[in-house]
Amino acid sequence: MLFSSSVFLFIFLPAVLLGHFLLRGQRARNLLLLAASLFFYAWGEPVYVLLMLFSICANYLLGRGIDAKRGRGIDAKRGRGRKALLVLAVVVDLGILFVFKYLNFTIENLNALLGLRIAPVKLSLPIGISFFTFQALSYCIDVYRGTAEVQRNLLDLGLYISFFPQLIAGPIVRYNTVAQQIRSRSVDAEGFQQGVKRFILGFAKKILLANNLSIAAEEAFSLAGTGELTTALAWLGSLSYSLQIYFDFSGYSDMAIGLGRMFGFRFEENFNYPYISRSVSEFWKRWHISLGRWFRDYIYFPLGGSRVSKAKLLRNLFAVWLFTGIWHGAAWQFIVWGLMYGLLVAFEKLSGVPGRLRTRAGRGLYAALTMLIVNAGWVLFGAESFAGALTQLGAMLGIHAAAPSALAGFLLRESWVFLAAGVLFSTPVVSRALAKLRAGREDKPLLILGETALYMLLLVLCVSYLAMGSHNPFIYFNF
Amino acid sequence: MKRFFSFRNLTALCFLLFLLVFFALGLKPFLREAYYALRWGDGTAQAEERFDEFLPGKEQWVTLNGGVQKLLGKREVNARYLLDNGQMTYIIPELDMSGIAANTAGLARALEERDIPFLYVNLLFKIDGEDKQLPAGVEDYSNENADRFLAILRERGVDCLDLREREKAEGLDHYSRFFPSDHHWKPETGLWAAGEVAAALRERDPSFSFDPAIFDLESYDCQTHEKALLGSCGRRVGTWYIAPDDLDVLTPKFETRLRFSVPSKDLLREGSFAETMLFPEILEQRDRMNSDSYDVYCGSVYDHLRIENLQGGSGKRLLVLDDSFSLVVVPFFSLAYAQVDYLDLRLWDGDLLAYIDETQPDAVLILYNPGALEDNNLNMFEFFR
Repeated sequence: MLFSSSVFLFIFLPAVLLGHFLLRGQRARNLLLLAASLFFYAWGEPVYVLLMLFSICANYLLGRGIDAKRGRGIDAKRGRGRKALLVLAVVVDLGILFVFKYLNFTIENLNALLGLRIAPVKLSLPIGISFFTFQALSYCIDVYRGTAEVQRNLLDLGLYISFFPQLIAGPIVRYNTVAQQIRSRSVDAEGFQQGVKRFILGFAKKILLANNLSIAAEEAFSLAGTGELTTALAWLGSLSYSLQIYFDFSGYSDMAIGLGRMFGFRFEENFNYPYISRSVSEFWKRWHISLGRWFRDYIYFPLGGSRVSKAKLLRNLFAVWLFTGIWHGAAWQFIVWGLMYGLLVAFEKLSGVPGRLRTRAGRGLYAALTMLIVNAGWVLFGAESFAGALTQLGAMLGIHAAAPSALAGFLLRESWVFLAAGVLFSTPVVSRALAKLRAGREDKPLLILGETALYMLLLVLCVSYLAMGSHNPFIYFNF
Repeated sequence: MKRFFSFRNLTALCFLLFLLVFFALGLKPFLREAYYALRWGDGTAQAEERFDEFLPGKEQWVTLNGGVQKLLGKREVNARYLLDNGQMTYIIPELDMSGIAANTAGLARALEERDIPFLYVNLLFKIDGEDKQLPAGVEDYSNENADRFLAILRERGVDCLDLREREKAEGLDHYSRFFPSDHHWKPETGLWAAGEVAAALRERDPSFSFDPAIFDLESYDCQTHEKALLGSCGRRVGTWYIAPDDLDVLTPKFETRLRFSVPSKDLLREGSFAETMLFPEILEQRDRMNSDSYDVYCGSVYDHLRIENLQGGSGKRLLVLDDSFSLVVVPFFSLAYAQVDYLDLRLWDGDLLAYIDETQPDAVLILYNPGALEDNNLNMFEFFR
């Protein structure tokens, strides 16, 4: 089930909200949310809900085991036992991920490399597997490190791993950030309203902007390799996709954060206007923040972070970016995409650019270059194949581009409003202006009425697109 | 609780009210569709699709969205295109015609072996190949596909009638012969097409004679139902985007006695043209989104429809393979012959050659519009199953 579906909006969400309000007590509410989350997952993945249940049970037992081996003082035997159980947790969680996501990719490459003929395994990718396995792993690591208490209630751990708002598109919630909230939280009127507003904003980002921007992007991706991709369309497609993926992904995150707040949870932010970044490193501090923090906490820091020799720093950076690439999908284009960022971040770390640039023009130029690189990176990311990505990147530079046609003009005329709105809303200009307007006037009836009208208008417009059966792509099938 | 129901929380309250109203209205259809999904193993995706079809206020939502799209100046909405002349259509990509042409030639050969005349009739598509009216940058290949398809058939000696050529030869205005909100043609165009096909048959074999009055518009009373038809394109974009069309219901001034039967539906009607061919109750339906006034002729598309002319017609018995464009051809074409069987291969799953051997028709015709020329068009070219 997707948030951007009428079944979710008109049946699932009101039913769960109603139940949550009618029930009293944290235990009952948690149980309801767990049952709802499993139903949410089973609705689209009836078989893979068993995988989810296995993941919950396995991590529960491993977490309990790791905690049981925690001793007072130094006890080498206990320490080794704990470590062994942690390794087992890593093997189980990453094993699940490997089998379902990377096994066929590995077979394909082994066949190509060694001339083997191993038949691929017929397995579809369980939706959201990269998110929930990373969450499960974070739980076991946090318990091992002692940064979070072990969860003694299987159902509460199940809720953490399967909670529907962040289940299929994140944010990746690290256990130690929500452990306390699972035990005890309250839903207040203000928080609920904030959640509603955030959900509607995310919904609008997804339905009004991302979906409409996807049309030109998909047209360009589909023409790459046919010899019909013009330079203009290659650019229009890449820019549309850059905006589409931002509004789609950040829209899902907003909806998840908003839904979380409606049920009393506070999730960390996942996006912070990444397209105003002045460097690649800054971009990744603003884009998919929860993934960046996960890799930072569980891979980069344990490897020594940046307080190591240059050689080790490079090793650490490339390890993180290699995993980042692979996490996004089992294909070479994602690995190349990740390593490209590894290279760029390493360059910035070692050279001190853009901090060392003295002039405003230089820094501005570097910021523009960053956005061009990010845009090119999205072509690599979104293309149907590595070859398709190279074709589109080539066409953007006029290499093997088709003769100009009127198609790009048509698509631009169709989508210019969404492109303009996309550019505007990918900067904090509007939110800052609105915050200024609201400052000190929060209780003014006119402002409350105006805000309500605006949010409801957005909601009504979104529903009209849903009812229309408009193009509504789901772009996280690789995750 | 008191704090929750305060003016400060107006946005949250409106949101909850909105959700709860639609929850109350949508729960029953949802449970029904979820039950079907479980009962028949349809899968939840199909249940969601069907729930979307019955979304409370669907027509109003689509109308609102169509209005927004119009405000934004969009020419492509929901895979339908607004032409320069204000009409709407869908478009067809460039497709390989060799497979379906080979199948059609194979059918022609099989019929030749049985000494049964065969005629492939290429109907009109909404887009005129010489005056496409599409927005710059949008290409439609329906007519080019049809040209290549017919060229292959003719090369293989298959008898073809291209109604596009007849339309041009007669100097008829193409677009006014279609419903602006639909990709289908008007009943008057269906009558014209029926006359052209009948004339082509007579030209090839004079024993396929008919009374010319059957295909003369003057022989019909016309009742215009204003704004009665929102075509398939219109239903996707709503009436704020494109206005509903007037629909003419033609009834012969001459006497008719027919039998209309659909074996798979146990549907049997006998009587005059109006009593058999017309389903006026369809015009009374208010749900424009889920009903099609075009079905006032024949009621619907069927797997197998048999029309018997109890007055005898020319005495000939025909078999016609057709698509939805025939809904407004069937009523008129059938008047010229003793019996016409219409098979829609998208729905009919019998053995065509066995059926032909069993019924021994005097001629077999295919009446397809260029938009149907697709390999994957739901078995329309799978003649030998």
